[in-house]
Amino acid sequence: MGEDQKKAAPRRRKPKRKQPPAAVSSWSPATDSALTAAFSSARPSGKTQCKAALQAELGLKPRPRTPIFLYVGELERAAGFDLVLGALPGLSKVSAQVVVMTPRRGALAAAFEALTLEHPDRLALLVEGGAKDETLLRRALAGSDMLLLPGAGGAGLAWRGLRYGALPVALAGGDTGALLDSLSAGSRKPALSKKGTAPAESLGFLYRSASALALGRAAQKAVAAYREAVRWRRLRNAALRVPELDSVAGALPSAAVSLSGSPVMTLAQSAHQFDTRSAQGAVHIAPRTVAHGAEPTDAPYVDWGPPPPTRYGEDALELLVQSPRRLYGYWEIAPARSAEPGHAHEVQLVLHEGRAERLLASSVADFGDWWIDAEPDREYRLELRSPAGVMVLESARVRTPREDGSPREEAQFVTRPEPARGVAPGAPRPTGAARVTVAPPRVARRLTAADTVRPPERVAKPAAGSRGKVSATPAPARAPKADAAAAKPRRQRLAESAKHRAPASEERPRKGRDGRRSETYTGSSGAPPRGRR
Amino acid sequence: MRKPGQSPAGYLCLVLHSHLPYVRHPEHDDFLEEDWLFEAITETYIPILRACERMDRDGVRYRLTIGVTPPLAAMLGDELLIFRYRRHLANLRALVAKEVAGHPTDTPIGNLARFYSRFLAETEAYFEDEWHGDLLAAFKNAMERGSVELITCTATHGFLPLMSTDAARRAQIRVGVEAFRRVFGRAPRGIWLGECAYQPGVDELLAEQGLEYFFVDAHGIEYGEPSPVFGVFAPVQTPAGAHAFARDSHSSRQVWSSREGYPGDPIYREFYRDLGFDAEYGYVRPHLHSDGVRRNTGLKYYSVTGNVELHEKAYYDPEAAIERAAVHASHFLFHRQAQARELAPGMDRPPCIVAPYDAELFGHWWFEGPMFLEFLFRKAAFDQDEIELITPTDYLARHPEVQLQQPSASTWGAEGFNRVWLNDKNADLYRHQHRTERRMVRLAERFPDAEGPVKEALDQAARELLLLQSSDWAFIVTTETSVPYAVRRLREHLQRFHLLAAAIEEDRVDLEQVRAMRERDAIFPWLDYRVYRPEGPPVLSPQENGDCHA
Repeated sequence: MGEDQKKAAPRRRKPKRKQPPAAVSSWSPATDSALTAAFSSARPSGKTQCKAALQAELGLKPRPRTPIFLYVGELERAAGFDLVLGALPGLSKVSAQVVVMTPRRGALAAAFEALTLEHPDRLALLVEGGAKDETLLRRALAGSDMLLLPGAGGAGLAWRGLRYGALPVALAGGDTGALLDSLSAGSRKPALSKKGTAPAESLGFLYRSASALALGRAAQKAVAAYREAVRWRRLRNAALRVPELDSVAGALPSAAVSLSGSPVMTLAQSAHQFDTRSAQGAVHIAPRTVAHGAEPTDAPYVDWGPPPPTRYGEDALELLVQSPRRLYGYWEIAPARSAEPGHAHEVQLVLHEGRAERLLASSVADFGDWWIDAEPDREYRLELRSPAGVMVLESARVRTPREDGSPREEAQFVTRPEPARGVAPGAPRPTGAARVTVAPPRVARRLTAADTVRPPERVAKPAAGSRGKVSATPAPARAPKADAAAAKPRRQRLAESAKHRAPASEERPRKGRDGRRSETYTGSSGAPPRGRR
Repeated sequence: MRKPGQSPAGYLCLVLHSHLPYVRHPEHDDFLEEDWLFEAITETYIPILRACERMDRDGVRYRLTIGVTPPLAAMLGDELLIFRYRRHLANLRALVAKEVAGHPTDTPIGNLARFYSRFLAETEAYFEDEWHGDLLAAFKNAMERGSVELITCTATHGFLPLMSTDAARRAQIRVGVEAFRRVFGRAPRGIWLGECAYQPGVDELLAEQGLEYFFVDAHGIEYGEPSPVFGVFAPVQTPAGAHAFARDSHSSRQVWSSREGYPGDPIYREFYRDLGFDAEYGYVRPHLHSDGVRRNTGLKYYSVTGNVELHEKAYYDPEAAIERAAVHASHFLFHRQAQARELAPGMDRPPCIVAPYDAELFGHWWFEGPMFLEFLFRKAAFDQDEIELITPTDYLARHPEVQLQQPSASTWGAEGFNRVWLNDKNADLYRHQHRTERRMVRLAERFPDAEGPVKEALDQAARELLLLQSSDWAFIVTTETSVPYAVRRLREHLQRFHLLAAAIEEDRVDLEQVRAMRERDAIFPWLDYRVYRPEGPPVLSPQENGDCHA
């Protein structure tokens, strides 16, 4: 435990004494009204329901037998989140789901988010900064199987996790280690020695060095234990029998007894349960008051606002155009459909390209999104299809824009109709051409933007097949290939590896607005202006 | 010299697109992001309005197209923000007064402090004495004097191609037209599509609302079907009957580019060196926001100088900078003349060079920008007759015969398509935006003629949706400038919308709650949720039409 917490601990203990057990002993899954179902060591089945609810809420695959790891805390190196990140690849091999809850987006948030994009059905991030209750934390603990504790501290959280049946993966020698020792060996009645015959078994999984590798190995051990159904049941039920705080606290190093108070700021409710108070502005940026003369050094407190709903519970499949060569699709299948006969949990994702079709993925969950490579000037449509070949959902058609000039040259000139002034807005105005004339060959050649005094220094070559016409201005530069590839989910890269793309064109002047483009005025200090901020 | 009635060699259609997202926080006494508006008023809107007035007074013949977006208009007409702007200005003037008192006239800083003191005094005089805090009246007056043509924008700078339904697109356009009419007393002829974002089909919605023209980026017309005879130098008419004018990238680059652009000239004022960071903390502390974090104050004493570190900058010389702005105006005009001369032989009409810019570039980013514009207009009027300034309306009146073309989908963002507003960082937002859109449309369908509290709730839900659709949020998330604020705004509008929608559907509207939300998100007080119905809200009576000033 760090210096700060040591200093903070005595201050926190004071209010705890004033109203002790009420707040603390409410950490009991048998009586917790925030949970989908109550459970206890005597009736542990409610935990399965809590797990299903958590998976549904976060868009994870509904898998009752896949273990869920939970990490609660800051997404910072200081909190040890880098170890969690490092352990994730190992966890993906053993097929586990990981839920990360944090009060704010820390420095490492982007790294984790990138991974969640790649594995939306296995990884979930919850950033909570709003309300002041702990119901979501309770629901998360109740739904999880293990708790990842990469730091030396966290005994308070570990205790909560045990009470809710989530076993800690923690550093040996840390506070959690001490807690676990006290629970298994130290106490008069060892937590796990049934009838005094079996040797006491630790209620957590300890690792010895603070490294991602060690954390990952301990987590994999936990998964191995989870796969042994009988052993796991025994462990979990023992965890659910972990006593109240008072009897535990005595066995702990004094610094660890910051058990009251939430370990994270808040983990608010999600989905459709919005907090009305915050909607009206009760919970918002708390302006810090700074003593006159003292310059604040820490970063200002950031309010990210109320969490958005994770799901809408209705059918959706949309396809959006990012550029002539890139599409984005997302979907959600309404829960009501799961009840339909013959419903499959996993569906195929199919892209219709003109009359052809391309299988993007043979199995996707009922909630997700996808980046798709495309070709310019074509029509696309996305479909979710059941393994039996039945269409589940279908998107609207979209057309990718051209990225070169049209070969069609027949020009029609029209005189615009009289402006429809005085007509009430909303009333349709006469449209179309009042007088159509086919243009006489009035020009020697067609004008293009290249017909200017100072053509840009780097002009693209006329696109192949543009019939000798003075070609239009350089096509808008596409994303550098490397970027596009990096941004792409791995499985999509695999799925589309055979996809042909035009060779990277020579560097072209970028189009677009200037505050927002590469060719921006940089003043002299090199920093780009913020455009419209 | 050109004879009367003879056509010029070319037209220059200069468009200033002024926009800021709707930022208004009555729940806080002091809100950082409201400064965006205040800085733009002082540095951009007032200087440009004053330049226009000076030129009109001097009989300069010029034409300028200015887009005032509905959120900007709503903020410029908002009493709370006007009050806060006054406070902001007073605070700045107090800081300048301290600077003037502390630096004698013969020092560089002393002179510059006095320069700012005059600048702010003139700004205040213009704001208070001439327009009594009502800059919308100043814009309207500029329009009525005849030199300035005002156009509108999508309601909240919504990005039309990434919306899910035509109903939502139509509402953005309808509300944009209506907001303009209520502020400026007449229907707009033209529209600036948020982010210049166009896709085939949008033109139909524009024509449906009586809009005659809009703007696209160069490749909107260059890649259109069929290929354009005159390139980007003449507008086209879309099949639906609206006209598209395309941006000329060369004139844009001259102003914006880091290599060729004017604002990087060493003589000009340096944006990034500010008294807010230079002065001793205790000295500027009373003039900072309540959080006490150092920020830009607007008092900048240094010039761009060259490629040197910020601490090596030379002092700013306002007079030399004005001269440089005049030189740049001549340079810009010269190149438009050469461009027109080059283009004219291939055309049966004078080429129309369309040069649109973010208005906030002029003044806020490029402090000398408004002076540049004034020099440009004066030179164009008195020193030459090859280039004539024009607005789209004038152009179409003079050259009614235009090519029929379906422009291509395009935006003015980096790479020219939707990437800036749809990428890994912000793609998730569209799921929420689309579900919200569709729920709004369903509500409007289900309640064709709501009244009382239900109507108030529906109207507010429509406001929340419009604010959610502002393209600024996705843009900020991409550029990583004020991400927490943008995310928070997105989430708050989303939350309020779905709270309202749930209350309406379950018939438990809490009027107090609705009004609390309306107090916070007070844009478009006249909004009628039936903009989301196919037939739209009933047309307002003419009396209602004239007096409003929302």
